[in-house]
Amino acid sequence: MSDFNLYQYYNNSKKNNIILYFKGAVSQEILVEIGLMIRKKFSVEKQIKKIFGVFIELAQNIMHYSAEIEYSHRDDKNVGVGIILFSETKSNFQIISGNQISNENKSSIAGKLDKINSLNLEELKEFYHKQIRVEPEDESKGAGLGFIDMARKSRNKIKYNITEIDEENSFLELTITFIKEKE
Amino acid sequence: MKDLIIEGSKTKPYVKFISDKARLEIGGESYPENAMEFYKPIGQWLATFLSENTEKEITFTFKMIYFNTSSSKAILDLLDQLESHHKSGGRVKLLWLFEEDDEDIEESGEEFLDGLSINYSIESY
Repeated sequence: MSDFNLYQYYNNSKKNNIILYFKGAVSQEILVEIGLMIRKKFSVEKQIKKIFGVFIELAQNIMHYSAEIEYSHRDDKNVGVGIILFSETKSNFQIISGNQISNENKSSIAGKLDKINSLNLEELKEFYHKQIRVEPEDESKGAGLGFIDMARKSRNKIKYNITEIDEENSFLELTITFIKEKE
Repeated sequence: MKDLIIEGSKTKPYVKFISDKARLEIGGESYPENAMEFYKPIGQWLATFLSENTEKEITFTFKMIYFNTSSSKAILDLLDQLESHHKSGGRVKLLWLFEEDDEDIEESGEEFLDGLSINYSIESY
């Protein structure tokens, strides 16, 4: 870590209104602790339940699907590694998550997100109730509903970016934006 | 039949299925690490209970605070079981409770129960 500059890192976070972040193996315990923290921190915010819900979906995605895994002694199993940031400005809240994905899954993830981003709120509701009836894909621990839920809760498009790391993996970045409600 | 009692935790709902009173209630937080695994025995208990109680009126109460998307799939499975019990002649009373002003749980109740032929009500507490 010879060229790491903490002050620069701090300034950069500050400039981008990052109020909280975590990088590492997202175990269930870590997820619970961060969840409780943001519930306290944003307790006055009207959309707190929605923000919390989006955080849980993002964190559980990393936990279950990140292509980068780390052995957790405490849980005696492998957990996904990733990064989650929260930013707050006067007008909005953002939750940004990042983790590695296998290049094989790149196009199916992008396809799902493009499809969701093309739907309005009413269509998203219909799509959710259609997808909940679909049997989960083999390696999916959930029902593949997380992305739809994030778009519905934030009432916004899901911004995403996929950067190729090497022949095997890419880095998936998801940004969920909540517009603050006027008092 | 033995009751099914599960104490709730930060991420798991409590379950109070009282067999002889036919009063079944589930509530609290639901975002376990593996929702399918958590809900499996609950669904199995309910299936046995329904098959043994074709005459009794059953009261099923949901009193959720938050549930994630994988739990929503499991909740729907429970509702499906109750609905098919009702359709084959069983008596079911369904209550969906939400904390006052909690629009999220209120709306998800409306969405999940919409279209059911069971007698249900969505109420605040």
